[in-house]
Amino acid sequence: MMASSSSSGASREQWANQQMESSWNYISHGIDRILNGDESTTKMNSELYINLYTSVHNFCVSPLFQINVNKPYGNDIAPGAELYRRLQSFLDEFLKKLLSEAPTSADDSIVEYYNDRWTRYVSSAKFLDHIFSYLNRHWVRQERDDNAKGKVVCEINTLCLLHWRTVFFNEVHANLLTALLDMIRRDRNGEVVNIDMIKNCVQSMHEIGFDAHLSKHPTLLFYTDYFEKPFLESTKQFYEAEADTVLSTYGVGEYMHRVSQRLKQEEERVVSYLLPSTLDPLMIVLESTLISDHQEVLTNQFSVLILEESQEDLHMLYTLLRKVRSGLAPIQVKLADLVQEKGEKAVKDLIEQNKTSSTTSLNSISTNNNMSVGDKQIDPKAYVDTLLSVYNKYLHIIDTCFERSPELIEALETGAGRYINDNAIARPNASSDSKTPELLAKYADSLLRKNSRSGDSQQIASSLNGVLIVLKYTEEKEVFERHYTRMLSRRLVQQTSANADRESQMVADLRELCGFEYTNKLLRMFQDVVTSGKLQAEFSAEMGTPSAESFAPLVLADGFWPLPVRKVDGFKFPGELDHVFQEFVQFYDRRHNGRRLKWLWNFAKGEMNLNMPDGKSVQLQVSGYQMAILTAFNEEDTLSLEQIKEKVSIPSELLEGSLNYILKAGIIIEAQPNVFSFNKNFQTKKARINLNLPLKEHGK
Amino acid sequence: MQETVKLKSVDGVVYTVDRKVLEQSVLLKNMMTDIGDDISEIPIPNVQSNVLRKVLDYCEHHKNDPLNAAGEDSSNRAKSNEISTWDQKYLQVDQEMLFEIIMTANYLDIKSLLEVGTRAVANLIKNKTPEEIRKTFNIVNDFTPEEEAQIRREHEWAQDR
Repeated sequence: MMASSSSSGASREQWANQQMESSWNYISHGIDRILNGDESTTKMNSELYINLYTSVHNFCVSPLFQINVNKPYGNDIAPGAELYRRLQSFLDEFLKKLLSEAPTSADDSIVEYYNDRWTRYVSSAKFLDHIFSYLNRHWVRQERDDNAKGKVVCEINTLCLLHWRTVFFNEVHANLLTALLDMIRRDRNGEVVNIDMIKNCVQSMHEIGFDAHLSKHPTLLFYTDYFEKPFLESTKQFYEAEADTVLSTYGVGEYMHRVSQRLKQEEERVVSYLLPSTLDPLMIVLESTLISDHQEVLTNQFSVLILEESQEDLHMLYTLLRKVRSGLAPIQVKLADLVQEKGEKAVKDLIEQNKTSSTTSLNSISTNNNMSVGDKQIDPKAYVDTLLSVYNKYLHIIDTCFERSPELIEALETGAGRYINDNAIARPNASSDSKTPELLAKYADSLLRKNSRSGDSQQIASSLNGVLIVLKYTEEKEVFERHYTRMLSRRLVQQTSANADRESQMVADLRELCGFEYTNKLLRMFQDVVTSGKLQAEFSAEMGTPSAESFAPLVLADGFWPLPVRKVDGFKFPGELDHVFQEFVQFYDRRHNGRRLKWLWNFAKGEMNLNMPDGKSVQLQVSGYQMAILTAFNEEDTLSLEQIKEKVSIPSELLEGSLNYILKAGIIIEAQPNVFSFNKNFQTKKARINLNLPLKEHGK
Repeated sequence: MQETVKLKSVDGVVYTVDRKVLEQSVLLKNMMTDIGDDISEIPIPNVQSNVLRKVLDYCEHHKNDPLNAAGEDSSNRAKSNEISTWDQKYLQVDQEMLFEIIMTANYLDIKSLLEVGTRAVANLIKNKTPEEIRKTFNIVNDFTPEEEAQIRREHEWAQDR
């Protein structure tokens, strides 16, 4: 291929020019064949391919052309620059021809034409890039490395696409875009359109989106400006119109379904023929047009649906509203109000039910355990169950319809807090303190006490859990604590607690709910009981074998127990037991010198056997005072009230009250006024009699 | 798809080569992809048979090397001056052949061979005085003494002291 050099400068130049033209002539025929190539007629073969590549290579390296090229590009004397320039002109000519043949209407024909030519052009560009790869590797790379000249050179594939953009695309863009958007509109309306064609056109706008430096990989900016923005605008218009039509024609119920369907379709549309980057901005447009713009209508629909409890529609509505900013806020307000309203209503219903139900049903409930509203008593269990039923109902709805949304849980809690603290039972009049904490504590007490009728262990645990839920929303937790502590101390002192594990579990749960400080006192009480038990055991051990008269004092720290102290000076411990009492006092003094024991006789209780003359024996459960009274009759069969008083040494009203139950049982009879005798004819079928009943409070 | 392709040198000698061997050349690899599977013979218009044979030997030996992605500079290998034992032995050829190999590697776009060839040339220059380099490459000194002095001054930083 090398030419022999000529001696004459002018003729050498002429010769070189001829050579260059003939070389370019060969190359340009090849380019033409590649660009206009139709596979059926002119299939590229290996010989043509390598000859074109070799021509490009030789054009670039030929020493003959090095000195020759100096006109068109000024300083760029490299043959590569000349070849690059000639290729550019060739591409421009080709693309102008394409443009002149393009349909001028903004309909499917331009889309078809663009689609067809683009598909061929893209593969031609790749082909040319390979044919010109020697130019890419040397002259283009060098120019790009040294791009201070202000003129940006790029690889051949990029060059082809860039010329497509400037010469062809920019001219047809307006019509193409209109036609594409119309196709998409028809697709949305369910007409059949050629999706692959849309996809290909849209893809082309990404592929020609080179930045100012002509980097190899295009950016999304061009696609965004030339396609995405107008597409989003047309989307907005389309759905504004559709929303109005559907709402006015079919109503909001149908509208909701249409919106969720549309959101899904548009997501699929992005996958099937747009760029993934369009998904987010498209969703923003849709959510604003279809949801935010009609939020009030949708929010009002919530009130309808939640009363109907139509789960699927509620869930659909929720998924729509949560997509938009502050879409759930109005729903939260509505739900909180509804929960409050339903809670208050449920409590009123309970009162009504209570009024109409027969009073005998209340017999099972000890009178002290009830609150009265008007003339009727309210069972704490029924009250707490009522509070919980409304809460649980809406919690369930939030679970099934609102995907346990934290926002709606919050609304439920707001509503629950309102009706739990303030309702017709908790606050019969506006000024009174809420009765909820006290009723709640009473219910807890009834669950934790022995002989609880609250069902099996699992039911009790679940009921206690309900107590904790209500407590969580109770404002005056310290009121609950006060009542709870009082009732706990009673359970511990009277040993009426049903289950120690359940008690400590409850304290642990309270600590989790209300904090460590809250349960400090409760824990201390349990600790006291344990310590006291140890002390008792040590005392018994010291005393040797347990005597018939066992004595089990609870020694508790002063100040932690909310026990009402009734000061009874001079109470005389039953004579037969007095030595045990004294020994304990001494024992305790040896252990804890300096500590003072305060005796709360009003909490004392015991068991004694009544041995009848006929040999039968009855077990009596008695208070400390009753024990003293009865032991007095061990010595004498008949005693006057004064004599008893002297022996027992307690105030008259305590004496009378305590004696009263013994008289009622018939163990002692009032032989003459204020003279009492042991009833030698006392008979009973019971093996055990409980005389230790609450004393009627005097002066209350 | 045929496993082998015939390569025909400019002087008409035909070599039958595995496709895999030819993929060392980015040019031939692209061509086989672009045109398709039915290539049976490829003419190589710029290369003499003895040079082509030599270059094919290289490709044959290195056919299992991991290929550098086309267009990317191989970073580490290019920086080191090491040439493997096989390549050293391969490059023990006369200067004319060495240059033919380099030019063919450039033409066929065989990056590793181009690198190793140019490195071999660099090694010929290394540690030589200008006079020795001229002698090695048979170059006539066309500088005047003044010009030479000036160049020495301007490139003082490059002097190996």
